[in-house]
Amino acid sequence: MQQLLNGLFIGAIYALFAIGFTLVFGVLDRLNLAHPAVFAVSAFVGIELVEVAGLSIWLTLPIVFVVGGILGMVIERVAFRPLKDRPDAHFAGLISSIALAGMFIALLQWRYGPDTRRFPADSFPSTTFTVFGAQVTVVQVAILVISVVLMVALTVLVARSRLGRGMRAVAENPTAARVLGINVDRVTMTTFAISSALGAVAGALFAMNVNSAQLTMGTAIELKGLAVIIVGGMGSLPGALVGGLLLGLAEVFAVQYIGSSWRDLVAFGLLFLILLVRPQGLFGARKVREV
Amino acid sequence: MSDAILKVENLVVTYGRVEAVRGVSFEAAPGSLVTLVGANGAGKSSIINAVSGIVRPRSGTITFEGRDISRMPAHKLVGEGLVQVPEGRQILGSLTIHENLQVGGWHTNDSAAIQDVYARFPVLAERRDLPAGALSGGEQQMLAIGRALVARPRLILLDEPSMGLAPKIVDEVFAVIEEIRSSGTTVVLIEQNARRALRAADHGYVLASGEIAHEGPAADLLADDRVVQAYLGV
Repeated sequence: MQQLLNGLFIGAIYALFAIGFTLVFGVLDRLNLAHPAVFAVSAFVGIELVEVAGLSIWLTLPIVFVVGGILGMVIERVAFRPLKDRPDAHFAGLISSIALAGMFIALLQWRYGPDTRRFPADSFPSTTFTVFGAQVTVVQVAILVISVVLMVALTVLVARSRLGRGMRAVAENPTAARVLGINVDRVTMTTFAISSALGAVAGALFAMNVNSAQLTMGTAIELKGLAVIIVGGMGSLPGALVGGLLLGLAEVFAVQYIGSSWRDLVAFGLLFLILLVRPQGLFGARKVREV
Repeated sequence: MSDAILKVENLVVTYGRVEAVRGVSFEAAPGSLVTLVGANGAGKSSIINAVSGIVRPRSGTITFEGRDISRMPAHKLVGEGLVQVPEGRQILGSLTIHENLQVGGWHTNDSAAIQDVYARFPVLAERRDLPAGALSGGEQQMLAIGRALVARPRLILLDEPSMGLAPKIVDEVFAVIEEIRSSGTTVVLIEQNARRALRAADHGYVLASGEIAHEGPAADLLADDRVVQAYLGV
């Protein structure tokens, strides 16, 4: 039971990270490899806000959300928009976003040095609950609740709101979207902002979950996020949610029952198996890419 | 026609070194139906894309209701009342029919306008919650036109609306175009089906190699042997 819950908590963070990733990747068809850097930056920013400004950890989350949104706009403006009219815009943006990610991490290193950073002692409320005999902290419950609420809110936004319609229109046919009066640049930038805001909250929650932030934490989750997107089904928001939870559970159970060195082998092996059975991913529509 | 709703003067459109449009001038009187006809590659779509802000003209001026719109981006022009129905319909197939119409009303947010479109095209109302990709070609063309009408345009630009449609459906499309004109909206129509377009239009321009070869009242062009032989087939 304890392991099941631990898997859910870490899986919720993977899902939140991946859902932001897939919003830009699946919806706008752009692979933003600066997303993992936003994840890392926000973890350091969250710790800084608690340590230096003395804020409560809960108050850091909305701030981190906004910081992530701003970073998303910077990423779109700097790494993607200048290249958007190139015939190889997808690859060009991918490369320039890697470059921007490198710059973000370099700035972190300059500001904080290479060492692991932790929240100050007493940052976390000590209350714990017992759920089916397992010990759960307030922070862990908050991680699950915040992640799920944000993912549901995003899904409703995309499916029901005017902005969501605009995103889907831009995703399907940017030229048609322009003809119909949509400011494609603005919708694109807003999509990046929302994506990065979610990635940033995921980063801050991750740092709270393990009480540490490292320069390499983005790289560690990058591949997991990509795997979750592909297993869930490209661009599928529910797919990213389920895929993230599955990956979290697989990791925790692999560590528990087989051994910690088997974690990645088992987790990624499971994802491979799913793709063998359902190549389009769990929630992916079986469709041929139209050119 | 100095009170033209749309006035294009010496328009030049280039793609790299290729001059697609070479100094074209034309105008449309309010409430009229003007057509630009010509063979594939004559520059028709480039002209319409320049007017609706999709491509930037190299030079020349485009005036809409007395304002210079030569450099205005497409998404702003829709809010100003100038809407294009693009070539190939460009339906958003993964969105529902209703969502397509909502996107057409991006600036106006006018649900009454959507109801008007449903009243005009009952087939769209019946299937409003289906993905637009499920519609037939003719129905998609009706959706493309309806989607443009949701913005309540004062000038509508139609790019090859009859392309790829069966003759009977083409009749329906032209009936709708004439209805739009008679409701007071100015129509600029681009067609390869030149004879058909000239029959519907008040005024016509015949394009060849990016320049205007002939112009005049549509009936005169249809009666002009040089035009008929060179551009309309025999």
